[in-house]
Amino acid sequence: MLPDAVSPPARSAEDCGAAVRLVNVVKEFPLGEQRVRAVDGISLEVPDGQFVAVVGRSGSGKSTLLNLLAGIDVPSSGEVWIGDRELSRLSDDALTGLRRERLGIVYQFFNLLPTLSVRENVALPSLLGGARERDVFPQADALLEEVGMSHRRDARPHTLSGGEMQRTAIARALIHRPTLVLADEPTGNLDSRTADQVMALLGEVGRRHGVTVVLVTHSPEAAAVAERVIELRDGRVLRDEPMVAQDRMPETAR
Amino acid sequence: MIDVLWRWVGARHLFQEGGRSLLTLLGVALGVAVFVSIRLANHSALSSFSDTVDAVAGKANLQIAGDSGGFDETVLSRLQGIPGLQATAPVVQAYARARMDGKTEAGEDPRETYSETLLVLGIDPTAMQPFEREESSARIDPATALQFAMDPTAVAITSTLARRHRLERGARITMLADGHPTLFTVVHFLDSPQLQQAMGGNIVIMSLASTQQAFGRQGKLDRIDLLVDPARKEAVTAALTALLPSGTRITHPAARTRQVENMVEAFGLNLTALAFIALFVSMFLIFNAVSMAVLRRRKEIGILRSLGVTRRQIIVQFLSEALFLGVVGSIIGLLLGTVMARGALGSVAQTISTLYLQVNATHLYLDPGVYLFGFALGVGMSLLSALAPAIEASQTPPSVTMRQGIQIEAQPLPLGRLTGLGLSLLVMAALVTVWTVSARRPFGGFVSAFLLLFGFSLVAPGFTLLCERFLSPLVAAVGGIEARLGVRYLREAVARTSVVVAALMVSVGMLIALTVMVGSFRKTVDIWIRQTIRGDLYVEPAGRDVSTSASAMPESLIAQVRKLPGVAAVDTYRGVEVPFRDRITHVGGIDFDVQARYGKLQFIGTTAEASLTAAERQAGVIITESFGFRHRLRNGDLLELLTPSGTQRFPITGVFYDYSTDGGYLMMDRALFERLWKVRRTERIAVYVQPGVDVDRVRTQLLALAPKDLLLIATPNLALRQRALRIFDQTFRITYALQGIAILVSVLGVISTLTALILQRGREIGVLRAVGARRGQVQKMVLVESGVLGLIGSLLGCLCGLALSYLLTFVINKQFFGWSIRYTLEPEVFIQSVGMMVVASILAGIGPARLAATRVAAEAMRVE
Repeated sequence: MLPDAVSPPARSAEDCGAAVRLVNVVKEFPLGEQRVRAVDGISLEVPDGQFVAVVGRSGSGKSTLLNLLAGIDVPSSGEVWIGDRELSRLSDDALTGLRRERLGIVYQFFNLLPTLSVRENVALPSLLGGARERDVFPQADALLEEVGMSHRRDARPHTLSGGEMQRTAIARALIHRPTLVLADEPTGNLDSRTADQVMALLGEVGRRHGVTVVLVTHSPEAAAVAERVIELRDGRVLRDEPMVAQDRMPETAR
Repeated sequence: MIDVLWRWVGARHLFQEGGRSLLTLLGVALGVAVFVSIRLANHSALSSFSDTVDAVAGKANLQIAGDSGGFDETVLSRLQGIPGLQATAPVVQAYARARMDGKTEAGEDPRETYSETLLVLGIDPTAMQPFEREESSARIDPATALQFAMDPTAVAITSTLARRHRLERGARITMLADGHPTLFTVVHFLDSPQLQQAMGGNIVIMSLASTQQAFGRQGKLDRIDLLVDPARKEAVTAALTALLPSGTRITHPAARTRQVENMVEAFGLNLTALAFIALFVSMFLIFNAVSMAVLRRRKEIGILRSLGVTRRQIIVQFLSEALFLGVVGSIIGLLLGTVMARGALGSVAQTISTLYLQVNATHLYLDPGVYLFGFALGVGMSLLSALAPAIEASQTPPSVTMRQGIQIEAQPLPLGRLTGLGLSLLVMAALVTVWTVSARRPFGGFVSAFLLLFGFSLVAPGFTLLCERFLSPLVAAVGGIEARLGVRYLREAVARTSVVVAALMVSVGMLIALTVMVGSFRKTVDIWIRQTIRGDLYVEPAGRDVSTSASAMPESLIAQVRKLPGVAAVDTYRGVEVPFRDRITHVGGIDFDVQARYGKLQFIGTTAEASLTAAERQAGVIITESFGFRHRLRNGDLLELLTPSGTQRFPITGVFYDYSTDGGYLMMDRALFERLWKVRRTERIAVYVQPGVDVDRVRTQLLALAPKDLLLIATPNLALRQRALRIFDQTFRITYALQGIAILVSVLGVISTLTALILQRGREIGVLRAVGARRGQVQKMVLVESGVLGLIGSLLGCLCGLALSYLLTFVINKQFFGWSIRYTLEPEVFIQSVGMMVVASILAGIGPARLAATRVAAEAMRVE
């Protein structure tokens, strides 16, 4: 019997030495009568606290990879480990629990709930986990302060600019102290200046909170914030190397 | 272009959204079905009556008629030699209870053993031939005519009746004549199609003389059918007027039908108005379906607009989708309505029989007019309710295709304007109500009910937001974050949710209003029965309930009852049905002396004693409240009535409360009645027992007095009261059935709207799932949403229902039926209605909640 929810994370580095570990992961999709391999036997490890950028063209398999890491999708074969948890063995509720406790996700389209205020959006993952507002709201306020959004905490999403929405989304991804933040083209919908700011913020808060960040992007500028770049093509790893210091973006926090 | 839009876009959307299109179709179908079924049932019940008139009158184009007491048969002999009068046919008729197995036992309850109600027509077979029509008429061949002449027990029955009871020629049937079981022999079967339908085929034809003999109508006729040369109709009418005795009149066969229609008009109109409610609620369904489609397809509309589709074409496109839903829904509704009409027919016919006159409707008349109207109504209302969203869709700018991200309603709801308009409609409803009462226009009551419902519907968005504000913290405290998300979404999608709130409001409002009105009415009737039914024992010959004025109790028996030990007084009753103005009214004769001493009629503005003694002294009459209201007569007015002793004028000396029939009736002292109608006949007696005497003992003694071959029904006070209330409840049963359907339609609205809302916010639910909401949490969110939707809808429904219940009780009921009802409000009605609606809404939310739980987190990742 699989557990319904995941117990609080024991820091995974001690257990298996990596925040994320993929072992020969394959993901196939049916396309008409054929089957397409979106991810074709990828194996890799991401150590605890690393900022990794996964790059590649459209259709290279990077979004599928992200979905597999988020437990939103399950691999056709192979193993996906988040800390000490192998995702393909978890039930839907356990996956939900994992997302709620260990993962933070930042989306291209922000995905803030229009019915909630900025502060409520940030607090939502913890509240869904059963925490009380009086405990969560101070944390949310602190995070909003950190991402420079405390002045808009009562605003509704549709009144925010793209950059503001993404800052809020970053705060939401961090509220429940995840070990891993997944970011899916977080700058895809932003102008370049705002994009730079958001990427810098993501790198900075990631480091400050000691979380592992996996960023999926097709933008070289965005990838420049990362410590390591993994390039995919046709579902395979084409390149996996550390980002050299001169390629990395200057840190402009805001 | 439009054709392409419809085939490629509109029709495909409708079919792709199969489930929801089906819900909407079902809503429209139910609305139309209820309307059609009620109209068909009503029409069929009345047609069964007019068929009876037609089948019997044949080609007759003029009639001589009296009141239900009949007139002297010597009138017939006076008609000879009038130029232009081509043929005459005398008829005497009676309604009789019968058992069809030829046995004569009374059984436990004669009403059950003698279960068939037959219309007995006594005719002169030799006189009928000129009146015969191909498809109808009571054609009696010479051989049968001879049998009629030879055997006074010989009868002809319809083949329908024969088939139903498997009767062969020579079979014996038993009819109750004045409470006497009397045997008759079937000698002939009547095959004409129209006779099979009239009275549901429950027609018996006998010779004139046998009928007079068997049913105590010696020397009397009820009618003479006349065949008059159309060119000389006026001359014949003039000649007849000169020679006819008082108490008879010249009339047209259809006139009786018209009088009957007038009599049951209010009843039919009220049922029809109720049937409209389901249709009204289904309008919300169409409105919502089209609005949701507009919202969901906003981008597509933008693309079409950027491709050169005009605003008008967009409007036409959405209207054609509504047209499709309206046409298909209405067609299903017509079929469903026909099926439902069969169920409703029994109930409607029974109510008409109990309250107004005997109809035995077993055959459904599929009136094309009803179908046509029902279809037009369904389609028209569908188009009307789609118009506003279609126009809104056409305002979509082509640039909308460029927008991404959060979906927000295209235009914020003009909340202030809607609420303002809603409140002004409510004020208008109040003004129309005042006008209705002062100008006495019953129809105004429906207009103000409509304004009220419409006004409350427009207030619904504001009310939804207000409730959300108050409920949100409460629900969140109890149900946590997912509950709060659910309630919050109601506010966000207020343009959609308030339509469902309005639909729920209408059905709860009507439910409450009806329950309060019927409850108040029932209580009023109960009190009235307790006050007025004072006799301890009511005795009548078995079968009087159908044969009414054609029944009589032996006078010698009544004399013996008066002498029974323990009997304080005996009141006697006889009545007759008389045409009065454009209706048929009932005139009763009772002992005013006994009534003054023992009875407890409640008079308006006077005491019973004053009114009754004044009536005795001035040869006056007392009238019921509803009779006075209908004919605008008051205490002190003069009333003119056709009697066998000529047209008489009576002073009205009292108006009393009565709830037995909305047509009302009038009563006079027995002596006056007997003098004017020239009969000494008692249909029924009320026995007052001395204090302390055992009523059951008196009852046993009384029944022992009756001759062996006389079946008497002696009902104690309590049983009579219970029966009156049972009839009352039965009358209103159909009302609740109609109401149930309206609620069903509104619940369909909850299901379809929630489903659409969930599909629409698939991405948001995906986000929720992605940030860690469990399936159970998502389900809970949707269930809270549907429950709160039900709660808000029914809370507004309570307010609306309260207003409507006043309107129904004091305006509509009063204007249509003229009844004073004591308004009684029981809080349970509100609690039960709200509880029921919340539960129904939560149940309606289960499907959408499951659907929501299947949304996967991946939807959050989806690029639009």
